[in-house]
Amino acid sequence: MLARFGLGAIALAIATTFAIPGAVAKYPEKTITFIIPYKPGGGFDTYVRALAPILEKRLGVTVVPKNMPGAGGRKGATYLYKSKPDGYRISIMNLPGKAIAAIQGKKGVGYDIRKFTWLGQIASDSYVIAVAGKSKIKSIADLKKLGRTIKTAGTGKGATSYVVSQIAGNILGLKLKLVTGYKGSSGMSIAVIRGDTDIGFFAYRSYSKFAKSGDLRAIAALDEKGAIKLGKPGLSKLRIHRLVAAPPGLPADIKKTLEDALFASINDAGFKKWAKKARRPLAALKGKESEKLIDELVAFYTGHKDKFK
Amino acid sequence: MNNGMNSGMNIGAPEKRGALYFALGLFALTVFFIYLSYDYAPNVRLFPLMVGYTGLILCTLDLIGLTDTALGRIINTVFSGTAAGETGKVAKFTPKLSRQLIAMAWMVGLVIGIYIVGFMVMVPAYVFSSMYFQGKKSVKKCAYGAVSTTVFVWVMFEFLLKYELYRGVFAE
Amino acid sequence: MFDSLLLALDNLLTINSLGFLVMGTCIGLVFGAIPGLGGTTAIALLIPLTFGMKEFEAITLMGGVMAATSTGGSVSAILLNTPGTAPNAATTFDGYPLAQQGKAGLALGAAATASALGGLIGVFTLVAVIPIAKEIVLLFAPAEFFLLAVFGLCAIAVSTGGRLLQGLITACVGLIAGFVGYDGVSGEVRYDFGIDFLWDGVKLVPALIGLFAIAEMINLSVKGGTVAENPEIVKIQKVFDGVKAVFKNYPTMLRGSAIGTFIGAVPGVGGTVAAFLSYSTQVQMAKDPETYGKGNILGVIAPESANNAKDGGSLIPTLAFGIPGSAETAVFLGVLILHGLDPGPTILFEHEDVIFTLVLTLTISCVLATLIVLALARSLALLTMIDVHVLVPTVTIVALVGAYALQTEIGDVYVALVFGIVGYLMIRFDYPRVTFTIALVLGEITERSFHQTMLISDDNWSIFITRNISIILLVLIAAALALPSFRLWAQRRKERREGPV
Repeated sequence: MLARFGLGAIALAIATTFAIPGAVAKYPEKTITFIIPYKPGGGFDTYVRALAPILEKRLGVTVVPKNMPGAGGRKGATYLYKSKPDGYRISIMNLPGKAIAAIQGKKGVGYDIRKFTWLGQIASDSYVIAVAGKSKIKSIADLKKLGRTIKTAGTGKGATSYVVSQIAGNILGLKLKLVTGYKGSSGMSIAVIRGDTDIGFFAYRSYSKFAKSGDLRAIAALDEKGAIKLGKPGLSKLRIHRLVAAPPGLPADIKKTLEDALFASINDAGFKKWAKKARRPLAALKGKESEKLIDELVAFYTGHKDKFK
Repeated sequence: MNNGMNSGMNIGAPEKRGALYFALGLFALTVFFIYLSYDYAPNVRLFPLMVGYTGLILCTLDLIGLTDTALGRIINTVFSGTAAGETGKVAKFTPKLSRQLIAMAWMVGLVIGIYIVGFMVMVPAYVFSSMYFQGKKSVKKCAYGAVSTTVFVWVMFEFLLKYELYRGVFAE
Repeated sequence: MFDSLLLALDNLLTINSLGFLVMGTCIGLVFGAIPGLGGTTAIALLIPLTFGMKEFEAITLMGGVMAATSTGGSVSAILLNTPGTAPNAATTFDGYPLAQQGKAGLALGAAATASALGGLIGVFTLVAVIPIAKEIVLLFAPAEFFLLAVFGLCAIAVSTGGRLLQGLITACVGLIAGFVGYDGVSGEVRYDFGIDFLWDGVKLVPALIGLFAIAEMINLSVKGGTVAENPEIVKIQKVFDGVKAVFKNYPTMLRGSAIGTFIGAVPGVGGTVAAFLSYSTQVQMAKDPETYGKGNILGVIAPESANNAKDGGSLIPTLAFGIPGSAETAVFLGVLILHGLDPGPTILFEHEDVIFTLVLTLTISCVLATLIVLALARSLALLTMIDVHVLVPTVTIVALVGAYALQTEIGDVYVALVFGIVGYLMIRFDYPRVTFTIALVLGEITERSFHQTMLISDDNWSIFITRNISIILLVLIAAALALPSFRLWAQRRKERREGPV
């Protein structure tokens, strides 16, 4: 079975050897690296690994997922930003996590979120505010009644959960203290269950697993309905977005090839079937729509920038 | 010297000078680290500084221990309580400094070579020349070693596992 | 529960599943033996292969890999002083001196047997604690993580014996190296010198490749000759003596397995600490601590039983909450997700057959891996008779390619080189590498959990003494620190009584 990949590699090697140098290159003609700026095994990793073989079929070249963890996802993003815009390096990106530098107006982060070439969105999910299953707190009002600083769990300053909790706290008028350093959403879940912190902000999907077992309980949903119920419709803008980016300045024809292949792959019946079975939400968007979304969101986040000191 | 209680004390004069340089190197590293730490906010540098200053004290003790003074002897006695673990595995002979430097130079050369021309050129080149110059093997044996190592690396990593091994600084 | 077990057996006892299990075990052995590759890489690389498989076939393949890697890693640790996977580093301390004495066969036999038994104990413990798995995981909050890490550092530092001062220094240097990179608590990147590569910090695997493999290759090429100083003994070695040694010294094996299972269950601490802790506990409890590090077979049995028992332990948090207990389980859970399963806290109710298939696979695979190593041990031992001038270039190449393959980053090769030279100097001037390694592993978790604890308790230090587990850990820390002085005192008293030696 390994040989099958080997044969592919030989064919590829031959193909590259015979490509005439200097001639107008037809895209794509060699292996595409799909960067995952996090460790293997997490949510971003599985999306890319499930998508890669389908994308591979559409593009007709090998697509290799490559984990590049470091600096809370900043390392992979910077690597992509500095790469040649030739269409052979793309990466999954998360918002609002990757927008934190833009919000703080910080220089020297290594990349500018608005300058990437956006190829589309794979998925998006709403947030919930959850407490431990056995907690007495039932609502936001209960939280406020405690009359003290509320502790919330987070992975790190610069992660999506950080941005979401700061902005949501600001809108809801909660005094939050962030306990950082937990590993991924599962680490945060355990922190809330164990009672390290009072609450946690979770993407709906990762919350739902723990809700089913009774370990976590939502006190507020931040989707459109929930946000209206709380009287703060703006809260529904706080979602986790999983997008795909290429380095800035990707030529238009390559962009179109990639963008179309990506969009078709996300809408592929097999991929949709997988997502449904594995309970992974999907929300396919094309490049242009993604760009618009990012501009809108960055403007929205920046409106709360004094909460990010 | 108290009869071999501490293996660090049985070493010859050139070795002792080497040990002194190494201890000084660690001392310098710690100082440099402490210096760097002050670039960061107080709560960010809290832990690093604790480690840095602890390290500095320990390095100072180590340096004093290397001197042949009364204080040095006291330090050696205090810190050499039980004997166990990894120690005692020290080489029983003192190799020539030049031999050691050459062995390290080969490694450094290999890595620089990999940086410049990549793995697939450097692997056969290094295996062949290392066996030829260091091992004084026949050309035939060296060629055999170089080819088999290269084939192994290529089959295992490039062919079966689909890695693209680093191709050198010019391929980027 | 019984139905699931039968269903799992049914899944497993097919030609395909058994075939994948054997294949996984062999791949695991090879990936384990090559430094840098290891279980996580093997599973990640095999993912595309599993797309065409049924779920349980994928599980048998991956389970086979997981259970076999550390057994494979012990082979290179013993023969070449090059730990194949990080947890095998502790095996080098006594395994390699045995190989130098020509007793590689004995060491391989003992390591393989200890691995199998440790693996089995780990898996059985896992099955036994299923009902209380949740409670166990929730016992450990950041305060406990912090104390556990401190305990690990202390217990291992004091076991460096005559070079305690130097051991503490290298521990500091290990911590310093561990500070490089992203700090999860503050979100800041530290000590990166503006190099993007360092944002992910100094990774353990390339550092260990340098510290052990490259350092030993430099050492060997300085020394010349062959690894085994007396090649005559290699030929008459009996592998079976190693097997017997494990059964004869079963308390060591049991203790190692217990430590492995327990530490393996603590996410983020993992196999390396388990193996080192098991080794240092063995040294501390031995009547003849001075024989360790010079080829004591118990110094092989202790870490090897621990580093296979950890596989069972690391599945405890997985069963409880569907969260990974180690890097391997993280990727393994990723495979389950790719196959449309959704591991979470209800994994045990929803996918009980999956869990049982995995448990059975781990059981069979760790025994199978051991049998393979035992069968090959005699021939493998002959490696120690090869001229170093052939051995050094080939092993160096494989080690450096392995360091690169970890994340296809050339920077990892430089890290391996730097640590190789530092490691050689540490061998030369007798600075323990044990404490350095353990500090590198535990540095991050120590700092992170300390800051977390302070955030949770609002800077109230009493959090460390108000929880049951933390009090136990504090007592253990005190005991670990006091033990060497107590031994020294007892020894002196005995000497005084018996008169000067």
